[in-house]
Amino acid sequence: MTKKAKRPAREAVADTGAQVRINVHHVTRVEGHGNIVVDVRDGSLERCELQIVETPRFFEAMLRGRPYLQASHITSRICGICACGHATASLRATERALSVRLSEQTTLLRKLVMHGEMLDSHILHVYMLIAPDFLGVGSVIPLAASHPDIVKRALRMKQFAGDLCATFAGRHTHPIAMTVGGFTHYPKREQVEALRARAEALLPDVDATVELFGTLPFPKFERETEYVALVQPDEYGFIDGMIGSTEHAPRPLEEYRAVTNEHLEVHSTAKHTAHQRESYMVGALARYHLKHEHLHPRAQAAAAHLGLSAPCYNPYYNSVAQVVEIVHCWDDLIQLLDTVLARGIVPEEPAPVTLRSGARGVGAADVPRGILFHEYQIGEDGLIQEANCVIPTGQNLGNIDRDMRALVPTLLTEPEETITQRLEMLVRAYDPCISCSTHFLNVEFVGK
Amino acid sequence: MADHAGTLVLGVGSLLMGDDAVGVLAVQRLQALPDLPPGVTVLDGGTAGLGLIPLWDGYQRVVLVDAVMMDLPPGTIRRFSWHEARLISHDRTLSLHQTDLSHALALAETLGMLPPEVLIFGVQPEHVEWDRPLSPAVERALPDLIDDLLDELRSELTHGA
Repeated sequence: MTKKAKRPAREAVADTGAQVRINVHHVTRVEGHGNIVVDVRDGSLERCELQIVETPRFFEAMLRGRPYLQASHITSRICGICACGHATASLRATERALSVRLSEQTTLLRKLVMHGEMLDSHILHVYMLIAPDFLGVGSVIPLAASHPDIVKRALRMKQFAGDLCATFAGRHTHPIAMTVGGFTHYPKREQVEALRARAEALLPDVDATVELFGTLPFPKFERETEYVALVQPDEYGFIDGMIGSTEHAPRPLEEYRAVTNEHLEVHSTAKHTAHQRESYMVGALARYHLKHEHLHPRAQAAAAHLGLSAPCYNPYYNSVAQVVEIVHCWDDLIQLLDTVLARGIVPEEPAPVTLRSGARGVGAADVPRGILFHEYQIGEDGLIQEANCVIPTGQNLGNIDRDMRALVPTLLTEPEETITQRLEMLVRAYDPCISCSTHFLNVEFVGK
Repeated sequence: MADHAGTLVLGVGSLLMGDDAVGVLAVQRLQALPDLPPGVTVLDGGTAGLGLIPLWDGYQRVVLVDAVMMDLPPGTIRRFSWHEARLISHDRTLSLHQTDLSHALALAETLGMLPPEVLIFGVQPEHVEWDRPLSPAVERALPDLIDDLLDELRSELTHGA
């Protein structure tokens, strides 16, 4: 699958005369298939890139001609991790296109579902995929042998997160109860009370998570970049808002294409993006930069304990920001559950839609790996005429490549094994979801 | 976790992936039966990966039903213990985000979170691909699979512990 891509610029490397050739086929502990290729000849960095070799999946084409009510269910299948996030972005795109006004209860419950998914994904990532690197074990199985309590804690927290999604969205993966305008199913009061009690009981696990990651030595590496995330005026939110950037004034969601500027790179079946620089970063670290002042106090304290403060240009700290978000989401969901219990759960009919010719809408959710956009055009007959999805991992790919190119020259005196490990850790820090981001095929490109 | 003491039948796989649906379809058929043996719980485990571990925790016996690559003719049914299954389990792990069954079993075993008795009913798939129906061979095997599972469920809970 290796493609012969040529980099236009040869990058000078310290005069070491080093020869390094690294070819990691199918980086492990990331979602989907990606290869790391490094080629240093006579101390000059000829090539350094994350090749994306996953097959494109054509979800946007699948949506065309389908009724708008199916869109969230189809697109939730883009990802088995961010199913709720895709459903949410999809619903918001449809709802904005069809002028739907959501009730306060719907907004509350959607936030709870997103928190469940954020926790599920972050817990899996930091405990099962990141921690083994730092604890000197190859994967989660030896981690379970050497540190069973850590893995059991992760499973406990992850199960709670899954149950939170299932309670409000009908099931854990691929939510069934969320629909355009609201929900089709509501939990009983006792279920919500039980969740509230479990959330409280698991708080020591949340604190232990912060303690654990405070002991891990994150690699030192910095490269300045632009951060992009959804911003809201008064919360550390994950749904709606404006597109915030560390280098540009916030833009309305409708201007997302001015941020993403998708383009093709020869070594990737997923499109790359660029805004104010050659690349930008999305995800927990980006969100932290753009709205950390809205974090819950316990999450602010966690950030301080973990040595995270803005600006932080160390991409390995994305995992640290994920830990901070675990704390934030946990405290926030307790507050949200209290609000839900105080209001009482009132089954409602979904809010009505207004169909009209050529309706367009952009929906956005800041899912575990970063900002996600869906845009639909829906005809008067309720059928989808056009769809576009811009996925977080695609937005991070350009940044990963540039990080790798900056990192490799600093490691040339290290053994190839160390370079490989550091590069794999770098890629994993972005928590890439490669299968989700490969959704476009340029026939000319493939034929080359 | 609660001590269920009984038997859990857990069908694993994706309804969208051709013959990989067989475990979930078997579970759906069992759930539709009016007279399951007492002490038996039947669940669709889908593609829950590591999320399967809490599901079987606390049971005396778990009976897993899944498509398994065994290099046998499509539709062939084999009954394995977990120990035997490890030897033949075909690693089709696409990622660690959706960990496969053998990985979840290995992790649970390391953590001491496996039921005393773990049985796998494997069905050799013909194709595991997006948006394909069951192959005729696996379709034909499904009634036999249900019969085999019911025979197993009616057997004593105590053996093999």
